[in-house]
Amino acid sequence: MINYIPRRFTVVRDRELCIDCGCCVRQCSNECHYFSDDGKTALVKSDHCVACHRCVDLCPTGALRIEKYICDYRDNANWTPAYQQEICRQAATGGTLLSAMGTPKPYPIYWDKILLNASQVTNPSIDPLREPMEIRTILGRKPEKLTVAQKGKSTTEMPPQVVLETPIMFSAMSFGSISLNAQKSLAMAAKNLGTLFNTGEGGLHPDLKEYTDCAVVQVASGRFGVHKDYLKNSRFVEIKIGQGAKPGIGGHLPGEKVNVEVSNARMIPEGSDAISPAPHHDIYSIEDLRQLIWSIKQATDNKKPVCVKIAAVHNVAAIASGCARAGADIIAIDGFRGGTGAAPTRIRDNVGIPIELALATADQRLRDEGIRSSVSLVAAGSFRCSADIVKAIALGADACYCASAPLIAMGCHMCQTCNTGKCNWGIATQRPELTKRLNPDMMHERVENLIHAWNHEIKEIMGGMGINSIDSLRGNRLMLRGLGLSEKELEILGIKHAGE
Amino acid sequence: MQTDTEVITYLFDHLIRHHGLPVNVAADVLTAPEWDEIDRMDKEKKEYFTNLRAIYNGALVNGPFSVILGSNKGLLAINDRLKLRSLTAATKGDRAYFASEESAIRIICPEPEKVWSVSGADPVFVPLEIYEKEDDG
Amino acid sequence: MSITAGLRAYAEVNDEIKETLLSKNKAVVNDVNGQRYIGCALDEGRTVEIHGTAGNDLACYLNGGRIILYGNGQDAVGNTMGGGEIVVHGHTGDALGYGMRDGQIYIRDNVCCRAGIHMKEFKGMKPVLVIGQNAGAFLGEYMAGGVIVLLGIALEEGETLFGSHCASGMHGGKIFIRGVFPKKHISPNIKIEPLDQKDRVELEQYVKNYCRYFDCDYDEIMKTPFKKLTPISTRPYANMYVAN
Repeated sequence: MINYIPRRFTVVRDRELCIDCGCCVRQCSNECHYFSDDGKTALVKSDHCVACHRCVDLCPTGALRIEKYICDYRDNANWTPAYQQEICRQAATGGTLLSAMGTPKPYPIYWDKILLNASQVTNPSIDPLREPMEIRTILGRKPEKLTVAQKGKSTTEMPPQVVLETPIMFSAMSFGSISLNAQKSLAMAAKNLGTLFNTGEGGLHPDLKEYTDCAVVQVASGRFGVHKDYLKNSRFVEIKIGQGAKPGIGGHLPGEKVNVEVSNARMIPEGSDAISPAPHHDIYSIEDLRQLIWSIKQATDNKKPVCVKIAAVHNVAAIASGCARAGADIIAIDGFRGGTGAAPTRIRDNVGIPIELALATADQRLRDEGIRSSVSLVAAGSFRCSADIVKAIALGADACYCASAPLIAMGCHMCQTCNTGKCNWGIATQRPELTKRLNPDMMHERVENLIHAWNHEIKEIMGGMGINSIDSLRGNRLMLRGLGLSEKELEILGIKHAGE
Repeated sequence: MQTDTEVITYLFDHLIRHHGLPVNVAADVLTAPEWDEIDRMDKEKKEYFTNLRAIYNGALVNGPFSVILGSNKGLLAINDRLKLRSLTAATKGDRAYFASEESAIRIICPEPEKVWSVSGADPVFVPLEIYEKEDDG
Repeated sequence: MSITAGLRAYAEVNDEIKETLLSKNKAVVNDVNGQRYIGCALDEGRTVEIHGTAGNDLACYLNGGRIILYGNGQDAVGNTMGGGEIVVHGHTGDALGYGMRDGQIYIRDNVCCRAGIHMKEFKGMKPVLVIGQNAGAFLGEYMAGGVIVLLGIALEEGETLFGSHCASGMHGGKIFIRGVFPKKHISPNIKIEPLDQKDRVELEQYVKNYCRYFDCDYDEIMKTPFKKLTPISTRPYANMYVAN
């Protein structure tokens, strides 16, 4: 049988360091390590290596490394090896290419072309360690104005609000796409950090009952696990219209990852693919969305804000305006770089627009129409560090959803093969021998460390700007300058060029 | 708007005239207390400040400022949240004095009864007493 | 022969003071109305006595000299002081004794915000700040050394001994506080303890000076118990960073 495609990686073992302990043999779910017949020597078979680094990180003597398998093709800027190999895969199977995690393509990253301000002379910078620096964020629809009986006595009827101690929330990752242990780690971290995690469309596992106060529950087109208690036991409800990684199509959980627990949570047969419909079949137009939003508000006695999650696509500004007018209290916009457990490659890599542009244009449109205060905007779609988050808030986001970052904190090495369900770190898998490797009691601490560190960095940056409350950073585009951006890009982002 | 003064004046006009808030409530919007302090307040005050900060989050003013606002309602002296600028108040009888330096007040009123520094997040509002004359005819 | 400040510009008044001090050890200035920088960088052995309201930056960079103010001070009294003594028969404004390195300041009444920021000790040099009434927010912020004494005499209804964020970032030195104090306003990394024998001896000396200058009852003041504030760690931010 001809393979037509070389393997991706080679596992390299330094024989001088290797002590044949067999740890790598036990750890690799892709069977890249095995013992010789006499059981004494550890050997390598690199065919299925995905560069997840599990063996590298656990090897007690540091004897292993992963190398890209360089098998040169003739130079061709157009017919790159990747395109050639994808054709071969399709020729062999007749299948749609399926990938995991956010698009790796080298599209421009606007976060890396935006610079931040700092205060000098005319406005003092503020020391974040010794002066009050506030990042508390309140999501939800706000009334036009405050009504008071007198100073100190408010008579305003406030719609339901969600108070977060940080502008960072954990984005939707369903139980099914990730393991229960991974989801539990996020839930515990969210509780300790004073923020929220998102159930994704896999329902809420009964083991996470004590974390419902920190849970955003998702109502997606598959309506998995959506029942009255699910809606009521949450901080807010999110209607998933779209997802940045695969706008226009529904969620996709390959049958390999549907074990008995996932099957119970979603109420579908074990081993069957859980493919959500593309649209919600009760939302065919904006009036229907309004109806669905209000149905949820009725079902939750108007006590919970309702969020609508949309993918960033061409008319995202108009769509956001429509969602706000349809009654959404929070709008989550997911940029095209968003992650996923599984998505068709071509859709992931070609559909959608960057969150930086989508956020700026949606925020501006809502302001132009005078309805910005009627919704909170949550941005999603790849935040790699705290500076990205500061820039997003300055562009208009009330809060930011992060998913890939906390996964990396828990051990993910971006090998991008979540869809196979063989995650060696126990994250994107349901296999018990793999999921047991992820201990929520330890992993939640790593996630908390990450967010604590980011919170502090955000405060340092704000202090440098002379701002001591995140309220004053929100939508403050004057704090940003573009570098090397075209007139049009600057116009859409609503920022000036550095030097202006 | 080109200057800080215009922005602050606009904010007060918007809050007082368009939104109908009393002057001292509008002052609270610009220099709202910290969340740590709000968390420790009694229920009514906590609700008041939480709603105020949630609704008017964009009107929170950062950076040092020392502002005296006069209107037909009275005189308001307001300082930034971190008390980065000087603002001194004094009273004598039914008169109130505001200045950025105490010496300035003492030149006009050498023996005030009370002199104090206006603290950030604690604005001072002195209402005007308007006497309306009765119509005789 | 005293100098009258009146409404004259500070440069003129200060020049006259400096000239007086060329031939005499002491200069007296009357009718001061906010003139700035009086007593700036005054050397040891010289005294300036002021009547009125001293302007900002009184005795800034004080270099061992003596300042006696019969009236109130404004902002930045004793700014970056390097030694000497300041006695104020009244209150002062913000930023008292910023960056003080040595010398002593006695304020009869209250001080406003940010008093004693980054006071520091080094070898034989130790700054001391004694305040009769109360202080505003951010007292002793970034304190690295020296002593602050807060007496809380004759506080009015509703007034607290100090404002919010007291001793934020303190990593050296001591603050002696007398009587009832708002614990919630003390920043993290600060421990509150009773004074030991050495502290008591030191404190008594400062309070005796205060009582002598402002004619107060020493025994009456010392009846109320004192507490001491010191930093728990001298490197409170040591674990905040990770090498990258």
